[in-house]
Amino acid sequence: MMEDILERAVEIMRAQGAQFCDARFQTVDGLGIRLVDGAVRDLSDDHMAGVCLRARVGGVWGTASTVALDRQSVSDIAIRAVRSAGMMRGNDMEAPPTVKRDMKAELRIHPRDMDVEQKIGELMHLDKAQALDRIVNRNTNYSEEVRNNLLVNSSGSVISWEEVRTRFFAFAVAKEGDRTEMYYDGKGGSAGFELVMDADLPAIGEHVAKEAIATLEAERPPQGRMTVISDPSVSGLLAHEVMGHASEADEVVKRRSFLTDRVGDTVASELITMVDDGTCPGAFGYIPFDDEGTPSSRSVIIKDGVYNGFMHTLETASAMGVPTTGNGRAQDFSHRVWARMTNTYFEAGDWTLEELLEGVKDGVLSDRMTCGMEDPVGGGFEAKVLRGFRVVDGEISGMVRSLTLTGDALSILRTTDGMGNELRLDPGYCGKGIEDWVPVSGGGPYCRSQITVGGA
Amino acid sequence: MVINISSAYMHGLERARRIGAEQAEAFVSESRSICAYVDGDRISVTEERVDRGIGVRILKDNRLGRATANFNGFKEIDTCVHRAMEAGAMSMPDPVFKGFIGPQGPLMFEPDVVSENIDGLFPAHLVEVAMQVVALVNRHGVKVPRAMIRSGSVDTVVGNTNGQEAHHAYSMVYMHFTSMSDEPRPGEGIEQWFSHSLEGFDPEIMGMRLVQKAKAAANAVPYQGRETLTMILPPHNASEMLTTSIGVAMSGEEVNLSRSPWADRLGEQVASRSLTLLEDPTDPRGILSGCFDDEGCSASKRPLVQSGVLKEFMYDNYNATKAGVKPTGNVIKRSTTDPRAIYRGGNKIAPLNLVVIPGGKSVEDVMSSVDRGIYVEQFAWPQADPLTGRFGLEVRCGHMIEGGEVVGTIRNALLSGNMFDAVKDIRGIADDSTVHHNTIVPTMAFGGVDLIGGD
Repeated sequence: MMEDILERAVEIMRAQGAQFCDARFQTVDGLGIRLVDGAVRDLSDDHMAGVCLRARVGGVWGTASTVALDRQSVSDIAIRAVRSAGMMRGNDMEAPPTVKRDMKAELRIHPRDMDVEQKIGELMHLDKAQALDRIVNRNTNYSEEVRNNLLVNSSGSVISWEEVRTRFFAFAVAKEGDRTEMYYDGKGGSAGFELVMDADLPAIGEHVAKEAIATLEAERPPQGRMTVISDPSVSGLLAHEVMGHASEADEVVKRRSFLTDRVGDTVASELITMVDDGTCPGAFGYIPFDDEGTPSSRSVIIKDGVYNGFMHTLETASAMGVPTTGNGRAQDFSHRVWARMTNTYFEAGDWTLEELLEGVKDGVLSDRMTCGMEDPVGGGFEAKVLRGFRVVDGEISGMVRSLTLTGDALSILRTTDGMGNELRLDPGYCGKGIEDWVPVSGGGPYCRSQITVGGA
Repeated sequence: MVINISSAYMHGLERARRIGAEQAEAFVSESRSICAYVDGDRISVTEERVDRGIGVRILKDNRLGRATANFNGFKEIDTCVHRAMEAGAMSMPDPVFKGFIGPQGPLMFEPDVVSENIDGLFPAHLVEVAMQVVALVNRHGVKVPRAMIRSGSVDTVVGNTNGQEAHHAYSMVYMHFTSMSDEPRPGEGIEQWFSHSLEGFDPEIMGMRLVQKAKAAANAVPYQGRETLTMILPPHNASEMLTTSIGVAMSGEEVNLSRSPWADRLGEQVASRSLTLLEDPTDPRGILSGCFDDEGCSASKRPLVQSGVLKEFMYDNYNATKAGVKPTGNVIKRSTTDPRAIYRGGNKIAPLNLVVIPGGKSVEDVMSSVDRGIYVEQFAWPQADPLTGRFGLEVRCGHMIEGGEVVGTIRNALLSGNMFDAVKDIRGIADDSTVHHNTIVPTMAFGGVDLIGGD
């Protein structure tokens, strides 16, 4: 039985000198379906299982993982985990309290309870609806993942929990002459197949196709600093990339974050309250426990413009003498734990979009993020945006193609003078630098700020 | 029971035959990797990872199914084969795909991409190297807030029921260091290093680059203004900008799906005459070089763009069949940075080793020939839109050039342009070819990009 094997590994690591240690068994089962131009291009059923052991010795983590799940193999790597940690000297860490829980995901339609053929049938609605004139390529991607975790540690905790995520999106490519443009939309969450069944797939498919075609007419974006109304996906990117990564406490304890020593300072407009909340039911970044066995929590990062605090692992919370927040996350059993975000967003204000537009003399309204990059050291911000709209004298006047928003994060947030009244979260995967991808969501309402805009 | 990858692969194919697959393909990988992480000038985590897995594709009644799993014995392989069979049964008949590749003939070359020393390394060795760099950087008053050294050895075998079988082994060392200077404001430098071994790595060179980059970033001033100028990209930035634009445009899948701007341009002048791009899997410097791709197809050295003329696209077997051409040996699952779980990925079309033929000038000569330009040391994330080639990138540290001389260092600027236009306006290619992921690229200068100031 796996629990016995993990308990034995913990005993071995303790006997070898680990001050604290944990052992985590994880299975990851995924299904991926990719439809291209009306055909199933890829249908993949993926399974992964492994054990990760961590030993804290002299203030350093020794980590070992294996896909060999027998008692002997796991015991062998327990010794190696302790030995590799024991070479160095670092800071001590307080052990977490004992937790005993067994949790299953709450779903209406567990993805494994539904036929793959039926799933393909549903997704075909999304594909077919994209088939409009000037659409040269239509794409539908679906993925589901079921993670089962069992964690045992030297505090006596035994925790098992299930995480289920489902996601779909469509992107259509339109072409006319030399111009090629795309548009995308979709949904994702900690949910079962009900996420797909509840969605109006034909409407989403038609929407992405029509918008891809419309984008063929988009013009080059304006250049320079101006008023930008960020849509919820770009607001989420602002929250995630700018303030979120710099609030991961592992960046703070080593003073790599521009927000180090800023708790209590006014860092943004008083309209801004920003939260990371791993307990958001149904959100893509929902986690009942982090990968260290800490229950997830809601952390207020900025409260009415004042910087409030960080997201912690066991190690960073101990180093800073505060309670941990349940943000110690790993990509899977074969990757290390870092301080990571979960669901990160700006809280909604009370402005309608029309009210936000009214005050704009010359600016841009963004429409859909492409990607972004953090800068915890310099506090810079870069968001690539799929497209946007010119706003002149409070009216939307025309579409602009791919644009980039950039600037100094705090300068941007201090200029925020309007927050929309509707919060939306978008699913995604977040890397720490260039690897270690974990599921998250980011979002916010429409936000109005001064940002540098550019694009070709 | 631990089984070797050849037994695993043969068992997978045999199992597929027995349960009724018309054709089957198995890709098996095994890796051992070790890693040392630095956080805040000290070692924070060491790792040792062992990984073994299989990816199976099955074709029956023109339906294609795929499954992947890691394994410790034959039982998991059997389950994986059954899952692939079930996935295929529930898929739809594919009007294009007729089967996996056939036997590929004798080996034409075999680059030496394995360092025998890698398997003898333990985390302590990587710790020692990492701390040498950290000590050197610290001596100059600069910190190393975050760094990672990973080494690994990978063995793969891919084969199918048509009789093709290809073995590949490689070793890799990947380093990613950041440095930070607090004076006069926080500035960050980043250095990466790719190789098959630790041989040739000089901690002093890495350390001094980190010191210089962090100090340059710390002293950079916000850019004000707006102008059109020449961008000079050092190898790591040139590599990323080329691979995310024209690298994607040369993929046979992008061509077949009408997404490549170069889809109808074979044989035409698409870039400056100074640009020649080779796919060169024979070059042992290439981390992913090898005589076969990860579909088991023979790879070969050939020009993709020669003197600016588009010569070839890259195809996997599926897209080659669709296009009515031969596959080119450009399927990659293997990784330049991480040996773990490479069996899990689908078939990605990319160069095994993309080489930009270097120019005859030094970097200094390229810079001195530029009237007004920017040498971009650090972007937020160098990336062009593969569909259009457009880019708008935050410059985190760039050196302004006036009359061939560096006249200042800037930050907080936005550089925008289009890579498909930029490759038609190449102003210089230097001779400092550097390995970066699956490319070997020198410093390159491109004209006609816009720089916009911000705050």
